Amino acid sequence: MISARYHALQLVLDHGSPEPVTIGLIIYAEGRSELRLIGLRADRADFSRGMFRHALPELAGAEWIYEQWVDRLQRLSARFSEHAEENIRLLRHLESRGESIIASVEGEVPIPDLESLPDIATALFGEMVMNRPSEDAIRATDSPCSGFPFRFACSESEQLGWVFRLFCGGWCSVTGNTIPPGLCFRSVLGYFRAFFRYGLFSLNDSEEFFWLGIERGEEST
Amino acid sequence: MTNDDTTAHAGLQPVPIRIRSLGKEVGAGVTAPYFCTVSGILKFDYPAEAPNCVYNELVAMRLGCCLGAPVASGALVSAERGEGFVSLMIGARNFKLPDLDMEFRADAVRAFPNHAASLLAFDIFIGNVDRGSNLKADIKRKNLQFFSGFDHSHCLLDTTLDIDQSIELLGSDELILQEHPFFNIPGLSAGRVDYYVEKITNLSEDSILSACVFGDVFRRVTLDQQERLAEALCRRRELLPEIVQSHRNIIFYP
Repeated sequence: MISARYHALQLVLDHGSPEPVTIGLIIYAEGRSELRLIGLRADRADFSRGMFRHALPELAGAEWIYEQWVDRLQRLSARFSEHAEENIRLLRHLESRGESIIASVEGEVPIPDLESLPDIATALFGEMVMNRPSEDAIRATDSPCSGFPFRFACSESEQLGWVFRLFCGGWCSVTGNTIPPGLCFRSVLGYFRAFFRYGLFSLNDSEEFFWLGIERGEEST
Repeated sequence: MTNDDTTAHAGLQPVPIRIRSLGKEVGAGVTAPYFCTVSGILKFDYPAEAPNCVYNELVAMRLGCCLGAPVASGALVSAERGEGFVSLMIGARNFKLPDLDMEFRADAVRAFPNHAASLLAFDIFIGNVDRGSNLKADIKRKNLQFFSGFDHSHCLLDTTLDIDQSIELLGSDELILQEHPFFNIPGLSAGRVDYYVEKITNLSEDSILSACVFGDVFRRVTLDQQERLAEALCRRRELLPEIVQSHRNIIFYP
């Protein structure tokens, strides 16, 4: 076993009422690091505005700022092998600089080996950001949506061409996060979501996997 | 094509600041104005490192306005601890653009060649030894881009920790800056920087006096110190082309 350290990446929208929301993490061990962030697909390095808008609707119109944060954090993560100490100092100072994304919460986890770092990063992202319990616990037997009217809608997405939304009294979202197949429940940024399956869709002549989710939140009433 | 053009010598794009909350209509005036609240960062003098921070911030902003340099807007405010300086925040509502990472400085120069040249010339003029990452540059959007320097606590009277020494340095032909985010960056044209240096050289003595001298003691800064700073900047304005010329190997990418 080796030890990996992580910094939770948290969003602070109003320094007057500091209630940071965890939106990602950077985990590092022995010069290697992994970044997981809302809007950033784990299997790709690119930023998805569609995912971002669904996950953080309160930041609508500020995608361009978030993208610069994504760039900054990606570059910071990429240079961990050579500048670990400098990076850690930069992360720790984000809060004192009054930045909108801070990384003051940090911790340590044991990992079996360096090769498992990406999987550990994804698992921690699930727990810390998506508030997702372990795989066994999230499999459910009853549909949470029985009795709710379903509505299926498509809308245009700048990034992907199409975004699929499944409405269930509120709205549902398409995410690129890796979660186990099967019905599961989780709370995302204060909203309750039920993800039930993933689908394969053809978008812009390329096949993409997406999770369909049903979300019950403020707007479902 | 960048948002600022090589030949666009009239001025640089203004930077919008964030409105925190919009109030009700004032109820008078043909422009139907509204009350509103804007966000800012409030700073006071910091005895250990920037004992004249508020004065420096205010004077740097005034000089920047005279020159059309890309520096953040701000306001002198009154608080329980005395006068402070509020630097108005740019970005979107409740969400700040991150400061420019040093790794992105070449991208910033590419996207904003005139802004970068103007800020560099301005920082050399005011002896700003702490530009570092104190800069916001929107390098992602195609339109509505902005670029703005902020934090002018370590310049002018606090170029060093001693006021007299700072004034003496500013009146000399020293470069003063040991480092700067736009030193030695590919793409930063010497010709552009020379243009903004010339603009500073053409700044009138009266403008410098108006920016530096407040007619009375301001916090800890005596009237004599204000006047001596103005004299030093008038000298530096004239020496600036020579300063840049004799440090080209440090400032510009070979």
